[in-house]
Amino acid sequence: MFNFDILDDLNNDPVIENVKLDLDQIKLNVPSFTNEKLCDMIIADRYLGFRQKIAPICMEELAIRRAGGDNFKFEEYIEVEYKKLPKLDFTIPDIKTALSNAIGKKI
Amino acid sequence: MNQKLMEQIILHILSNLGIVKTHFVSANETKSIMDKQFLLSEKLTFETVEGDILRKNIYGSQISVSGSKDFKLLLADCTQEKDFPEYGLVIQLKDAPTYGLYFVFNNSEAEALIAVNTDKKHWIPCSTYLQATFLAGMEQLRDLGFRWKKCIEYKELHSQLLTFIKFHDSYFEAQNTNHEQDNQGEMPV
Repeated sequence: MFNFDILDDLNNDPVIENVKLDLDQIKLNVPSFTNEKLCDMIIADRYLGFRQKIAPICMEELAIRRAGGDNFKFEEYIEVEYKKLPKLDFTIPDIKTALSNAIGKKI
Repeated sequence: MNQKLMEQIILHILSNLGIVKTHFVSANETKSIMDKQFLLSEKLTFETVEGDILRKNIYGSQISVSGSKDFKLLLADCTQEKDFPEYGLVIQLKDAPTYGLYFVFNNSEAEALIAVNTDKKHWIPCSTYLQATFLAGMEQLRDLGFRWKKCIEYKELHSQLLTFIKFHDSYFEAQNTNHEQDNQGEMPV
């Protein structure tokens, strides 16, 4: 998708470094993250529909912590925080339906 | 994206509006939108690659599909070379997104685009589903036999027509650049 404003903005930006998602690095880092951060990563992964590879990594870490005696209720945290997010809706009204709705009153 | 399907959808819509002649729509039974009764005072100005200034016509028509719901249509004749007619068209039903279609007739490589905008500024190419519903909506209008009248109060739609034409230019420019890069074996930036 293209539009002029965005293209103009991009043209004025410095060269953008091509950043690659490094799952191995994430796996190395998760032990140092807080429970809440791990949950937030799971929520973001699900909400934004990323490749959903980060969520299992974080979930595994949370499960390891629970098995080790951590009582953090991550299922509840995820459920509550996820519900706070606004619903995403990318549907575009189609002209056929809009016309049918408008004409419907007439015919 | 099925480019051939999109071309056929656009061709069908333009035929039904009497803009192009095809074997599947009777020209005698079709009132053309490109008629002087729909001609607007505004002109579209182009500068050709040779530096010539072209002033092209814009036609506008509308129908009232229900009490307060006007369906407006603006058509720009964007033809720069006689052998390659090209048209830009935008339609809007009140309180619904604006749809635009652009077509360049070229036997070897036609350019076709159907796009939509929901914020009166930014255009995005339509999915096949939206293209199909666009066609269905236009067919519905034809089947119900509404009478077109000359468009009034079209300032906002006119500005959207201009942004749509610019969007078409940038869209195909970007596509052509990508094709060139692909052909040269370069990675797109």
